[in-house]
Amino acid sequence: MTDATTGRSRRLLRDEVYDEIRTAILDGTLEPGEPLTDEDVMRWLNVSRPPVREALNRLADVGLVEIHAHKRTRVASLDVRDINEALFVTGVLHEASIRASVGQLDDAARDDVIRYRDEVRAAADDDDRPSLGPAVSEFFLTFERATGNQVMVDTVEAQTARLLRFLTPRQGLVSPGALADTVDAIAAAALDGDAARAGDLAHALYEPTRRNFVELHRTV
Amino acid sequence: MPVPDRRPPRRLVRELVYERFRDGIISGELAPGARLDDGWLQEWLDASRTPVREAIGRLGREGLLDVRPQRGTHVAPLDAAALLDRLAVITALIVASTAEAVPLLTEDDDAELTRLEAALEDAPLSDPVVLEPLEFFVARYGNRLLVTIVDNLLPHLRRALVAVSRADDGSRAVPPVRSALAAARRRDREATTDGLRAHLDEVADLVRTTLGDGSTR
Repeated sequence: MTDATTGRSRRLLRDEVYDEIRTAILDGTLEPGEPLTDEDVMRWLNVSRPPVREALNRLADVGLVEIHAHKRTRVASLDVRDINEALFVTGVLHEASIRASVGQLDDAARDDVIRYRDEVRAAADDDDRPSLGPAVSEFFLTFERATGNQVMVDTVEAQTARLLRFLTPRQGLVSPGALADTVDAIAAAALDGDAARAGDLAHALYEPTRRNFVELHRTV
Repeated sequence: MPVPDRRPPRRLVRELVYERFRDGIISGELAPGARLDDGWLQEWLDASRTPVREAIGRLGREGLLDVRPQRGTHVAPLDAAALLDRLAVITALIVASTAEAVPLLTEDDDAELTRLEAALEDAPLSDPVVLEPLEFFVARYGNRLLVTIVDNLLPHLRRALVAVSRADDGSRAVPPVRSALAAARRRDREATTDGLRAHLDEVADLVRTTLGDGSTR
């Protein structure tokens, strides 16, 4: 069928399947390393094979599933060291961007700070982890963009896939409420033009990452 | 006994071609902005099409080449603004990882720090050793992602330093990084990071004054 309406609903179905699986991975319903066959997903979501295959391929592109030989698919394993390393890099660059940009935020940047601060708070209040991660990323990317340094923006954005899962339920995770509180405090300092305070708050937010890395992951 | 195959393994060829290519860009032998024809490159690198194409792809991703379909392959221009952007990222990452690395240093590291200090004494700005302290601290911290990111950024910086030192007859002294190495041997975290920051700030000044139009962002 080439009817425009059908074409549209088909595209929506594909997106829906993608969103359902993505949410289940990010909120921990589907566990790291769990096998994910086409048939299971087809039965679970009551859909045909093509949208399932497409969704799984897209999820593989963003690093949430792994597709091995013979189309054996699994939820990507949660490599805590990978996440920790990416957190260190993004934490350092967030802090540097905040210190460099807070004194010179234009109106558009200030609006973004407020908008993403509110999105973080809303996601935390609803315990909506799949939305929380992207909202936090966008909040901090506001400062990277405000520096006008494209290398800074690109380096942080390149870590998005790994960081998508930093809020997947696991041990020692910062609570969504505490995260939203810190984002609130950074936003308040940034809107005040207090770069030193906003930078110090960002530094403190990433302190556990630095401590964990040396204690748990460092092998050199 | 089987006759040993004297050709280097394929993986090694790839790596060698990539390194030779990259070093040509860093040294300025392949001039900023120069158009590079595939056939000429194969001859210059003494390699077949596949490893050359692969090296082009990798150097394109690292930003040392501009690779555009229909428009050919060009050596990336030496752009002061882009270099300063990279320097800002490197400085933040180096200072933060060094702060973590200093308390982890061992006696073996002290020997390496002493070696670097000596090597830096009379080194001209264009000497690769000028940036080795940065690699040392990043490696000692042990964050693999950070090593990859810094590895991708440093060739740009090396190329800039070669260009800077050519622009002023190599008379420019190496910015103060030796004090940072001495501070690391004393396990003085703050003096180490301060020294590295001063080192990188001076590099940024050199880039700005020698390669830029003198304006700052």
